[in-house]
Amino acid sequence: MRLLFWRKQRRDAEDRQRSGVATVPRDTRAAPHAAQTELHGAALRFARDALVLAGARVRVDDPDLLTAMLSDGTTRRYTGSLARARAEADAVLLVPGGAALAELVADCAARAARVAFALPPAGDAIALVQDALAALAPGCGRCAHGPEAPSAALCDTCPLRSGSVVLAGLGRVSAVHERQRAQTFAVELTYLATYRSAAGRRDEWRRLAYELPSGEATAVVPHGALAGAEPMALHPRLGEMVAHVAPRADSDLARELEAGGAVLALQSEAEYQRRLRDVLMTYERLVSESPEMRAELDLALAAERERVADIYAVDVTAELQAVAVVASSVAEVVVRQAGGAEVVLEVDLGRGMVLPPRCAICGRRARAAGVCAHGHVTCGECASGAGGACAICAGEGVRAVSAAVARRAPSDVVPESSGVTHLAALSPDSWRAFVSWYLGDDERPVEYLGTQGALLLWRLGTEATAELAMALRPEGGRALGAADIRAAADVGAGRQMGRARLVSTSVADGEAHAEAEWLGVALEDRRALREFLHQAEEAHAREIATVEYDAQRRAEAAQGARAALLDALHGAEQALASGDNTRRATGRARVAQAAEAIRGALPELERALLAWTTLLDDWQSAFDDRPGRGGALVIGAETGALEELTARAGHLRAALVGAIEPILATPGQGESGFTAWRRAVVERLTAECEALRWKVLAIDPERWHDFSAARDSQALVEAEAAATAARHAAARAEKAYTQLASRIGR
Amino acid sequence: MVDAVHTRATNGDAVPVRIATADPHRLLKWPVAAGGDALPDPDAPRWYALLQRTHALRAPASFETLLAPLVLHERLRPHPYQLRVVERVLREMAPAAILADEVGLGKTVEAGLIYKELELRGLVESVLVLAPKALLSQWQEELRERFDADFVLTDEKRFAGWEREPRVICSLPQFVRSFERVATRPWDLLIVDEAHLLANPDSKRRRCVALLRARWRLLLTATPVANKLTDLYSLIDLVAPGKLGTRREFEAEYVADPGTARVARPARLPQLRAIVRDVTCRTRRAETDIPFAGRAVSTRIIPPAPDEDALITEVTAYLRALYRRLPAHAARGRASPSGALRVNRGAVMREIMALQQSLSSHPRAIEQSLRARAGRHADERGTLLALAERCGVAASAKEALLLEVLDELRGEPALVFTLRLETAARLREAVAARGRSAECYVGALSRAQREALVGRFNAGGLDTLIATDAGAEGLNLQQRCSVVVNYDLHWNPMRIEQRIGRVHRLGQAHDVTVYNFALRDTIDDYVLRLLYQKINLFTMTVGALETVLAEAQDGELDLEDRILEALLRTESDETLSGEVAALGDELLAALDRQQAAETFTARILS
Repeated sequence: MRLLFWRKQRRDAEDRQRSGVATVPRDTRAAPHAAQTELHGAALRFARDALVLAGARVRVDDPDLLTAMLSDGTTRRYTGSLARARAEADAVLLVPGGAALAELVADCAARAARVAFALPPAGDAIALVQDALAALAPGCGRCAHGPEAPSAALCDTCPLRSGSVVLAGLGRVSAVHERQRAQTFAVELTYLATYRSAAGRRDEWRRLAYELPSGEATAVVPHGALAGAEPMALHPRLGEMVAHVAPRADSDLARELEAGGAVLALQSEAEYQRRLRDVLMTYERLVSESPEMRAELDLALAAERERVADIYAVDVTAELQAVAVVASSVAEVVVRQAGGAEVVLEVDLGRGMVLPPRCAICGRRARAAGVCAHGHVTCGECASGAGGACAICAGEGVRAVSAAVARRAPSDVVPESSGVTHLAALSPDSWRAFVSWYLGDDERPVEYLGTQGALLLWRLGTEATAELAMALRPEGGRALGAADIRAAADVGAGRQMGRARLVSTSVADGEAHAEAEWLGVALEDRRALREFLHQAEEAHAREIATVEYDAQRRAEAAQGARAALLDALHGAEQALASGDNTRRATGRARVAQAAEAIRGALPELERALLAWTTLLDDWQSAFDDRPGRGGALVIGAETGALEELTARAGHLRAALVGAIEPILATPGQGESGFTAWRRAVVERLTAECEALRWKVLAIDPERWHDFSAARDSQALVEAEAAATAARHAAARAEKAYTQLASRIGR
Repeated sequence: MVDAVHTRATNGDAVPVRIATADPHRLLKWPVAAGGDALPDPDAPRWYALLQRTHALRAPASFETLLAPLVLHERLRPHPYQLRVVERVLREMAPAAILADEVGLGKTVEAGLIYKELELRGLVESVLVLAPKALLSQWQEELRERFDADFVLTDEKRFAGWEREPRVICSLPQFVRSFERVATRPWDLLIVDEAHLLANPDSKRRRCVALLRARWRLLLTATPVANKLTDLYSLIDLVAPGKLGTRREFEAEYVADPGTARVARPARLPQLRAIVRDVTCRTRRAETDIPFAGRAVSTRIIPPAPDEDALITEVTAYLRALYRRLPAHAARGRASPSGALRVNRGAVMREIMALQQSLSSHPRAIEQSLRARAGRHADERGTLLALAERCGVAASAKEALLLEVLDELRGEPALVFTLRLETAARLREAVAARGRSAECYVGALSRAQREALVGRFNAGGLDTLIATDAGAEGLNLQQRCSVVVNYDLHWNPMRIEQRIGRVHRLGQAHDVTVYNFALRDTIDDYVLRLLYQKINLFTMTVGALETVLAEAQDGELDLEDRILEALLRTESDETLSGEVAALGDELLAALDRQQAAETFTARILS
């Protein structure tokens, strides 16, 4: 479609002379004053170019200082150095967020908000076609035809890797000529997308381009091509068409924004759930503490939930910053095959690129397609729908082929969580942010290094242990092949870092996995990312489960220790209960001998009892004496420490019983007060064991969920009573032994 | 303008995602020239190419490098410890924190930097600052001067309403009274100064703060545990609800004497401190190395000139009579005696205050004020003009004293504060007549004139600046001047502190000398001796005054009103001095309480 436009008249120089304002030429890179010293920092360089473009005379004396004489005669000095700004009163600091830079940017944004320009032809159409057209890689062709064409991995030498157009089946070319040239129009929309989340804010700059009037997506103008663009006037009809493209752009952008928002939400999910759980648990406990305040607490809970949601909400906004109507010459180049059939290719001369040919069946552009002897171009998908033959030549209706393609269900598609499907829709910046998050999951430092070809590169870890991480999103979701792995390994070898990782949204085929293993590239493909996203979704639930599991394991270990302690004490108590024999020591010598045996056993017994007291202290200190959050018994000791208590109980059982046995082996009765003394000793031991047992019983780890149920205060009372009884028995034994000693002459 | 496109449907309690696009068709309406086609801009492609580079100039996403100190470098040079606090809050504690630095270390600066950093990165737009009444204007000035942020007080004429105003400063009682309107919208950032005033869990103010939807919250207090350990619970529960469980659980876990009235003995202090550290930033004075110059105070209380004394007595009697007539007019809302105006108590009190200030200031100032009033009140014209006549010829003892002090200074530059424009003009003439260069620095001057005056003063071309309080906002003279003369005393001690702050700030190389003038047995004499000197106002640690005022009557003490009321209500000097002394005792008690709270906080947190 042809539309009228006016070429901009070259009038810059005359205008400036008439206005009496001396300026440097508009091409900022050629500005004589500005070019002498290269400025430090993007802000100063931007300021220089903006000021020059606005008609100011700019001088750069120092890499940190820019002096501009504006067209109104005033002088401004800008610097990027804080020290300089402090030292020189008239030097304005240019920093992001600062008023001076914001003013320059706002001026630029206002001037560039609605523009129309024409791209002058760059290059020769025929030469561009000859450069772009490539034959299939020898022995291959999976990129261009067959059922796997859209998703198969590319081979090592696939011409698509270098941006060529592949036409499988193209015969020998006998002639190439330009048939006609027409002016075409496209609209470029520049958006600022802003993602805000609990983690902060991230801005993205997105340029989307659409052909007019079809609204089909096209390439944005390369930065290099913008330099030579010529301004043009805009016809009202073009303005109307631009408005028609907006819904298409909205829809394309919405997919990206939604995907970016969803991934960001996932990053905050665990923390959000943790906060929400804190709030809900507190609410539940408050309700149980003060049921009469339920209505007020409900209100507070609703407000708090709203607030937490506000804090963690992900806000994504997009604002249209500029609209540019771009005119470009498109040439139709006819490629004649030796058999006479012709293929027509379109060349965008302004952008300097060959447009991918359109499929004769589905009408979509495809960089890899098949061409039959009659010159019909069909994309891989449509060719496979027609069984590999040219559907046009076979006389099949276009509709029939399209229906066949639509009917064919993808065989290897498994249902996936929304997270992983979002990854393909992420904008480039969001994809980069996602991979940074993914790589930083193990809390190592992550530094983005830039791009190399289609790969994004990061350094992981510190200098000594650094590894190279790469990320790749193959075009159109093609599978990851061995060639991709080799390419990544080459990049890794060049960077000389310890290890190479390749992260990709695509599924890697078998060859790729084998190659990765062979070359030592850690491959994390779509399956790994799917697992990661799933884990992120479940992180909070897993956290709770881990805490619960750990507490349960400690409780079980404590339960084991408790059983061992009770078992050991039970053994000693049983021995003491059975030791009340009826044998009698008669005669002074026998009594003295029995008394000596008991006296001899007492030091060992005291040591055993002291060890038991220490053990019981350790047992008690394994538990907090105050309820934890949620009213549970907190078991502070690790499972290892609790298992050690179990083992110590076993050892000390032997020590205690071993110390008791010599006492129990003595006659149960004897003259001269021996009976009373021995009974008092045994009573003391029995009471000591009972006190220990009650101390063990005072804590029941099996009921750890409820502090009050797990702690038995009555048992502590009983323990104290038994300890008192033991002290009394010890006093009686002391007194009885004094009498005995005097009677047997000790 | 942003039109919401859609909000992602969330399942249950998932993180909400809100997606919106800003008016997508705004730029698509192409302007059409008269001839049909839009005219081409010859530089359009170049501007368009340049626009694509602006993305790299946007504020970066992470807080690795703080932008606010760079952007504000002309206004503010934060201390390293303040920057550390800002970094920690933004990187580790977002979106809520308690700033609990010791008194005088600049919590306001930290909060301002956090606000500015968030604003520069587009993370906050709406901000609400809650502060004690006595500190509202100080907050406003500080935010304007140091952070280039225009905040509105709710009692200002330009206040556009709670629904529309993006940046508001408000007192806590006002906030509670207006809560329904305040809460109609979510706020991006809430800053609460002297946040220990929210410690009472049953107070309405705390409940309102808890219910307010604010994404970011900053609580500022030097004493997060003023009296009880549960104060800490109250504050932490505001920034991280649920973190400490219920109050009962908190007491069970961390209080050694739960259930008692004091609740002051901590249990498990290390664990408690660990939790507090998660949400609190506290810098102690000992951890900083702030070079502050000292202050020397010279208070000169002199007898009034012979005819000045009688004038003061008579004009004061007139003001008292005016005050006594006030309730009848105000209560009935009738026309004033002149018949021209309806009487409003606030307006009359303001006029009485202005007359009182003139009276304390200079006979020429009161002369002008009386003549002006005579013009408005025909029924009092005779009395007022007779008094004015006498004022016109009366001598001023303070003026003579000023000249004497300036002579003592021997050319050393001085900043003189007066309350009245007429006095400023009169003093300028008198000082100039003495051969010393002087200029007035008042609110009526343009920005350029102010800059020129400050430039002249700092360059040594001027020895004396005579300023009014309104005019001196934003004045920084620490480079050359270290003498402040309170020619007229201000009854708001914050104003006194702000005056001294014009020279006593970072960058002052010498000790600062503060001269205070008052006429013996006048109200200024009592305020100076029985109130300001009692609490050591002039040598108080920087920042301590704010906390004392916040402590006194929960920040609602309006000293100016109280002093004026005392002056007008009492008949004898004894009663008046007694009332002022009682006010002094009240401030002293607040100072004691504040010091006790500081000690308690230090014991628990340090």
